[in-house]
Amino acid sequence: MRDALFMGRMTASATHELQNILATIRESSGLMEDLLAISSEGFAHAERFKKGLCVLAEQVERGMILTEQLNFCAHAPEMSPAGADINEAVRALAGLSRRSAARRKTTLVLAHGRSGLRTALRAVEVMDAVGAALEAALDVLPMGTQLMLSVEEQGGLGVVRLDAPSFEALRQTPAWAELAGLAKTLGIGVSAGPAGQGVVLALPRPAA
Amino acid sequence: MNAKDWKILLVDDEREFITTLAERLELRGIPARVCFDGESALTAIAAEEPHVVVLDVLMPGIKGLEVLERVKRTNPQVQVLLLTGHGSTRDGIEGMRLGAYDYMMKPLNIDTLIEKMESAIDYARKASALPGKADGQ
Amino acid sequence: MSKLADLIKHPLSGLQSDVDEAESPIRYTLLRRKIFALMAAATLIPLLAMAVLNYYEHQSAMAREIQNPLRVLVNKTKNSFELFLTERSSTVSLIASAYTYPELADEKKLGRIFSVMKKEFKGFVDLGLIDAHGTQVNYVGPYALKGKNYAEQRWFQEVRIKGKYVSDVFMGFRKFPHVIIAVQHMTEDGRTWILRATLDTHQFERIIASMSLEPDADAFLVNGQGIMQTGSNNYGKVLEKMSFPLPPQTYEPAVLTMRDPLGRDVYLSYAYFPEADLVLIAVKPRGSVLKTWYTVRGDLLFIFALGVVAVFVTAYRVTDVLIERMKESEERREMALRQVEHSQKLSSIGRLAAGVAHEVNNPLAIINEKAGLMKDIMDRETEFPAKAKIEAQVDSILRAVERCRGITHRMLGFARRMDVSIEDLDVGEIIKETAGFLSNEAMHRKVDVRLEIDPELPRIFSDRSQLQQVFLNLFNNALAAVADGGRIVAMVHAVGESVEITVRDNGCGMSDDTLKHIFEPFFTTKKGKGTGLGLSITYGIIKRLGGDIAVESEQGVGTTLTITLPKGQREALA
Repeated sequence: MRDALFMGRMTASATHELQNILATIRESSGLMEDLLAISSEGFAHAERFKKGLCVLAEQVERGMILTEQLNFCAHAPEMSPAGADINEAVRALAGLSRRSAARRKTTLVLAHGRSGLRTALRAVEVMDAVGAALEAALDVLPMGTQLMLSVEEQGGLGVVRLDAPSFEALRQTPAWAELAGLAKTLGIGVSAGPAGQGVVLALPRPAA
Repeated sequence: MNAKDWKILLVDDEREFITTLAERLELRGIPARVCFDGESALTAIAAEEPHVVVLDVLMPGIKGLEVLERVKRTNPQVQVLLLTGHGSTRDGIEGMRLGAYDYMMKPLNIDTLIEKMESAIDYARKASALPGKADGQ
Repeated sequence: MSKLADLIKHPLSGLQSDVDEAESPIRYTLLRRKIFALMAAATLIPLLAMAVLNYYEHQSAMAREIQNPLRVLVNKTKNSFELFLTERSSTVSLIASAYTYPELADEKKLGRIFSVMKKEFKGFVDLGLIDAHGTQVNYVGPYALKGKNYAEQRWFQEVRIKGKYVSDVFMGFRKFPHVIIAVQHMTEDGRTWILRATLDTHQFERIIASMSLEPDADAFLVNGQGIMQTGSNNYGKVLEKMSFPLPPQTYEPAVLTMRDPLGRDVYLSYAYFPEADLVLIAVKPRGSVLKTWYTVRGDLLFIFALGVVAVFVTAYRVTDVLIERMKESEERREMALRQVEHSQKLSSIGRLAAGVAHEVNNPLAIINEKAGLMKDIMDRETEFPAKAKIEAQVDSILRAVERCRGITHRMLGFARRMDVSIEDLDVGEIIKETAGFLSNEAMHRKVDVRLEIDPELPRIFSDRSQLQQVFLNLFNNALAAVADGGRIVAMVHAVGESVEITVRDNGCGMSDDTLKHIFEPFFTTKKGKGTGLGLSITYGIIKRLGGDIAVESEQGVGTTLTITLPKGQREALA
């Protein structure tokens, strides 16, 4: 955890810098848009530029979102007395894993989760566990499917549910061992989803 | 060989990125074709036999390294430059072991890219000139 | 104190929440104190209660234990006295009835009777015959009492009425205490005479002595008026008034405690004689009696004190163990977590950071290309009014992207350094492989790359991909430094317990100034091209793998980099 906290601090400072830089890029791009809007005579490629600047702006936004997620990760190893917000952690993990899932032609969908559900675990621990479950699921799922993550309340505990594939199939994956080990250390309950589909991770209740 | 005679294929699933790159190469007089995934890339390579393929390692569907392996089997004289945004040289090294000519990290410097393409084409020319020499090693 | 009250009210519920929150050391201390106090209180309070109860129980039991023997002794002694007196008066009575008046009046005969009496029963001093008028007509004994008249004496009158009389102790002739037994005999024809015997109170003293009391105890006989019948050490001589009042009359022998005239706390054991007007009193100072009790009490206290100490020590130890266990399990959880992290390829946050850094590279790459394209267009474009300004912005964006590159590289450098996976490998093999990656460029530029690897090179434990990284970095630097046609030599051999890798080039070399900063992050001589992070990361990796790196260089001559790696795993790897 000390390593993680150290990394977290390094990452946090890096994230802030990145965000600043992205902001300056946004400014430059905005200024160029303005300049082109005002006086584009004599400039044949003005239209092309304008289109390019649009794309640029989109990418800056994309970068901003990612760095925000990175910032969340940076603070994820920290311990807070009220515990971690499960929904935020899962959201961050989903954001990070989207491309990884896309590579396997799987769409990651995050159900509108219950906010305010907390757990005694640190955010990074939640992300680790859900990430491990996700890895196992992505290993098994055929291409072109959709995988839904949801954050619910079951029996007074906050739980994270993946809706695919079948629990038995998940158990056979090589990545399952990692999830099992992690769950044991962190005190997370692992069980099958409804009708044996998917997996439910029950997270320990916050101490307060 | 004159640059305008180069046959370059660019492969990356980030459309904005790869099309802009192609545009920039065009501006420099280097003709480049674009593919957005491994499947279409393999088809294009088989059909047109480019001199150099600039290939992103992380793509959905067939992974970049798998494309590399197949290309080296079917069209061994085609030189492959790997693109990795991974930030780690691991994929790059793995790729070189599989026969890539070189690797570069994103975001990339276009002049460096052109240098490496030139070097690769040069190498290919020399390699094909010598009889019996194995490619990619 | 209110804290204690709270503790008593809800000791356990408070503890529960305390246990859950016990993270920081201060918490542990507070918790320790709470548990200790509770344990000590829970054991000590009943212990104390028991000890107190015990003490008082014991004390009263002891008192009873002491008092009983005393009472019994007094009773027995009283009985002895009674027996003594009864025997003697029976004897006199028998003689009075067995002999006729003339026989008793005969001197010689009385003398003989008396000597027999004396022989059989100890204590008789004299014997006398007194007629109905009170005149002692015959007398045997040490005093000259023949002819003395007792008609006026109270005892004479009493014996005339009662027929029998046992006197108190009194001073008779010769001024020493004695007791009289007088018996009246009446013949059928109404004649009466009295036989009178004097008893030696010496016998009394002997009976009292047979009680075998301790020297500081006292026993004596008093009469109903409190006049001492026998001598006492402390409370009066014979025929003096007893120095303290008589105890209340009882039928059974009794024991009471009181303070005597000498100021001592004493046990007073006494028995009233049912027949005679006598009281037997025994006095025992409580001090001596209680000596044993005090010893026992001393022992009790000592054991109690030991018990308290034992309770404290045990409570302390148990609390200690408890807290240690708690700490241990917290630590174990941390350790387990860290181990789980270690067994994974990348530490969790490292993996996340790497993932996101990768993600961030994509939009950055696009921005880079788009801005690059814009720059290309600008470069080829003829003048127009806004050109300079637009160019400036494009340049600004390109610079910004460069900065980002440095940041993600740095972040990933850290992430990579956290990710150490150790395996058994051959360094020579890795050098060969890495050198192979350069062979193309080297050939292209006609650079001679030579490898000298010790064929007997021992295998070592280290991280393969990190070493690949390091060597790649070194070779790239060397390639950049040499001119076309230059030479690079890599040597690998064992030196003692380590493996040494040297990469030497005959390139441009470095100034002493540059040498000083060579391992600093962001230091670069590649103007605008490199990120300046290569060697600093290399340095970090080697250090983390437990090795060392050194550089020698001379400007215009060349550079030599030496890396030393340990054979096995060292603490640095943990």
